[in-house]
Amino acid sequence: MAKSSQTILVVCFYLLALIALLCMAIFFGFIIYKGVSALSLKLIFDDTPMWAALLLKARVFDGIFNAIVGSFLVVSLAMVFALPLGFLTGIYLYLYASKKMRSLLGFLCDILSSIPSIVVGLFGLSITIFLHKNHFASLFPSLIVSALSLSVLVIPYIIKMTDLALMGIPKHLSDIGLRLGATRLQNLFHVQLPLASKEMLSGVILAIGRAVEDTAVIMMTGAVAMAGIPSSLLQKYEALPFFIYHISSEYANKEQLNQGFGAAIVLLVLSLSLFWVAIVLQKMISKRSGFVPR
Amino acid sequence: MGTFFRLSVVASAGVTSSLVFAILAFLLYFASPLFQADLFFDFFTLRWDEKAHAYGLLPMILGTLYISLLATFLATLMSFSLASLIDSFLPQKISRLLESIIVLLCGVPTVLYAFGALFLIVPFINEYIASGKGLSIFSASFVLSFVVLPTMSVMFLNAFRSLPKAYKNAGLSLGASPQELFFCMVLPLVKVEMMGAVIFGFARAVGDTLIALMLAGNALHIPHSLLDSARTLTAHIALINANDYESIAFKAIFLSALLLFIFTCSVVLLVRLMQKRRNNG
Repeated sequence: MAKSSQTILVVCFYLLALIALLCMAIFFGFIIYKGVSALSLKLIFDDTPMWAALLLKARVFDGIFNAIVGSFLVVSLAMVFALPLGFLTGIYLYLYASKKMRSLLGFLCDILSSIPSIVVGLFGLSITIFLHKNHFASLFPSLIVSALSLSVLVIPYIIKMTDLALMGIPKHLSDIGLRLGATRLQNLFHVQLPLASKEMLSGVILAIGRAVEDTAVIMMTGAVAMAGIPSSLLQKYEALPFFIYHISSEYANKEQLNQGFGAAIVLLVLSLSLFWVAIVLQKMISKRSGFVPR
Repeated sequence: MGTFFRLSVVASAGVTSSLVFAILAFLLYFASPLFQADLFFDFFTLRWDEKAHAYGLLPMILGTLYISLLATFLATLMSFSLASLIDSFLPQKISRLLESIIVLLCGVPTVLYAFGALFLIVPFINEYIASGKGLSIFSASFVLSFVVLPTMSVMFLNAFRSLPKAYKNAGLSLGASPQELFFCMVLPLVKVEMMGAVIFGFARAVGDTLIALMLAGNALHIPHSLLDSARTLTAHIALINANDYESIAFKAIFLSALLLFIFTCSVVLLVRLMQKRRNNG
């Protein structure tokens, strides 16, 4: 390639990158400007006293408090299902799987992680319909269904990060227990897992971030606009991303729209801080031992 | 203890690996009545109108293709530029800053892009470009390209950096400038990885629900121009009316999901094959 045409291409790179960054800057400037001016305690708790709401003594009617609590509940519940399954499968891949098994499971894991989340949501919904028709007439889309579907969404991430974390331990460290006469299991619990723990934690945080932001799964499986705080696993619930989606089409006045922007800022800060913690953890690992676990 | 642990490890591996098959099985189970009827091929016609009992999925398939192809095209241009600047052309300090910003952007929730765009880009188009055409293929794919951009940039960067350091040093010691090094050595050697990044971006664009659902207008007809409203397969699933389990319209939703599932499997398979071929050759 002639040198002049290379230079022209580089100029194009600068132009395109500038356009992209400018669009991003305008976009986030707009969101932050609108959102920050909407932020207040009233946005979250409405007119209910803060402590009464936090202690669940008084119901919040018009704030986003219910949505925050709902998001928290559904994500924690999803992690309760996803973490053990993901960790154990990751350990299976690392410790017991044959080479063929590894590539097969890796393939299935890749497919699972790239299935569109709306299809995962539809999967949850269809199981619910199936069970509702055949066994449990009282089962409807609800908190538990959403949590289980969300866990399907994040399990592949956890498996991959666990496996990568264990594989990333330098050879001379990972076999140290075996050489001292420990069993493979003792070596796993006393040497390998502690060494991999930080990266595994960063994987967990990434998975939490993925679950918090997902809208498609929960809108298929039980998130609704007005539900209050659910008192059982079989009830419908509110969630932050769904609230934002709902406001965008149903807002009746400027105040409600402002609420939407406020909720958007809360969700943005929440996801970015989760993401940031995960990145910092990963940086710490690569600095600590002088190797990049990849 | 040892056997118990081993048992639970194998059991959970069994559960997680059967999830893919479970999803496939449920989609097939609910879509299966459609395969038996002789109306199966009617689903691949151009019209969806529940009142006239026409259940063609082609408008949604075309909507998906238009929106995600355009989004992938825009995202590829921008993320390739960003990644190559970061890799070879910017001073180290700026490129480090830019890289951290892009990595952080990967964590922004999709619903935010859609929500922000709904009150920024859609009114802008309505006001200045074509009134009443704010919710269109163009807005959806433009915003979608920014959703895919951070991840794609990171993948391009990883592609550029996958070469051994010795290659670069060899090039430099032969007197090549960073520019020559990038165009004549790096680009030709990482073609497969770059293809992987583009394919991955396309798959993400196809799988995204919220952007198209909130910004493309969800009209049920064949789109003719960039400023036409369109509906994607994912949005079609999201707009489901779950009250009537038995209707053909409801079952057709599962056919849409099945199409997305098949698409995902073929993408993953394609990327795997590409990597394998490169490793062997």
